[in-house]
Amino acid sequence: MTCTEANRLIGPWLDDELDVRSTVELEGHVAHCPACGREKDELLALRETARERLPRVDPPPGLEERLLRAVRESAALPRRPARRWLREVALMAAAASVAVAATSTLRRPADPGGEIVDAHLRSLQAGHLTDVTSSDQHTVKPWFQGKTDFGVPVRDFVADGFPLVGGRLDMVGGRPVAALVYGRRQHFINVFVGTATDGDQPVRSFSSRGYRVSSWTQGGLEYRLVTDIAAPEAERLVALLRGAV
Amino acid sequence: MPASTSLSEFEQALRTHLAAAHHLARWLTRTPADAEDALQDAVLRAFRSFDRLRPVSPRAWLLHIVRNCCYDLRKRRERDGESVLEEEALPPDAASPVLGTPAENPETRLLRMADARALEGALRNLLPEYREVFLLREVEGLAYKEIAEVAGVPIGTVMSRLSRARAQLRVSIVAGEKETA
Repeated sequence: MTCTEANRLIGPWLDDELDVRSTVELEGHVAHCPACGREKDELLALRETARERLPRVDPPPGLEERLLRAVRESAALPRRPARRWLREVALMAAAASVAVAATSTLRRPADPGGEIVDAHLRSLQAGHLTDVTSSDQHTVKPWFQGKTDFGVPVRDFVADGFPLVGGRLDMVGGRPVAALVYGRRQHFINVFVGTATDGDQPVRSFSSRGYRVSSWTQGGLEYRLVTDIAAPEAERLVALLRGAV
Repeated sequence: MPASTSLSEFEQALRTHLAAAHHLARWLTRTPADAEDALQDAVLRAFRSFDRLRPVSPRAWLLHIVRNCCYDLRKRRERDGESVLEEEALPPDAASPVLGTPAENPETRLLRMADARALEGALRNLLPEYREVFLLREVEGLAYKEIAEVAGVPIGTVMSRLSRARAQLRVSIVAGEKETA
């Protein structure tokens, strides 16, 4: 066996992936070849370092429960057929957006993979993001008057890095909802709002098709926020919207 | 809709392999938050196909989905123009470590003594396709066949990527340690 052949087989040998015949030949070679012996020593040293010193990052506390809860919620809901064109729209969209929607009669606060993400993706199509485009809350808020049967709370969070982009009327689950659009760097954020059927509910978040959805009920309105920005940033906006900051 | 038995089987599989799945996600995404997002996406995707597929190796199957979700998220982040700080591309033909003089072997000692930070930095500099095979082999202890399932490539590709990853790690750890020495 030549050193070139041996060199190629040392890794699989140390990984217990080499057949018996090659193993015997290789062991014979390595026993008499200092260079290949050294190759073996270096690979073993690298392995030892990786196994002993590489920091093992344990899952954060509560992660297992959060994941299991998301699974149980998705198991309890009817499945929707995949909508291919929406995925393609999502792929083409250069900007990501966050939608917070308060919807009036949605009875399922958590709807993984469902209409809320569809509405979010739809809004990314050119010209569909806003009906009223203004960073002025005093322009956007009156625009909704007469178009919804509830008052839409509109606030700008530009000082916190979430400038108001505008608003529009949208349909989610066959119901009209108010959608507020915020920006975050190159991302857009949609917020859907409507009247709630239940009392106040705490924030619940889950991921669907790579988007993060946060929903809660507050002051008789149900809010839904959809985004692909990082979770801590999304949580920051949720806190701002809830007036908790 | 999976029956409650498959739900509890799925939960069992998830509990068993969560640590490995989370660890892989941390290494294939840039931030802890991204790792969690990719993981949650993966878990929901996995659950939807669990009943239909009944995977022979739940570990390889779950890690495969986690891996794909991490890559999807990375692509989306890159498309959104977020800077990708890590990962320099491997040269097309990473140099095989030199088979040097037999008597002295300072490299072996350097590799054995390398601290966590040196190894971590070297790993982050690998392409994710190389990084994942190294981690799955050396840290998770998966067989080539399982790694091939996770990465979705033939075993021959696993072998060549693993060999490249090891060569590159050795070169950069030894170079780094010599610099700081």
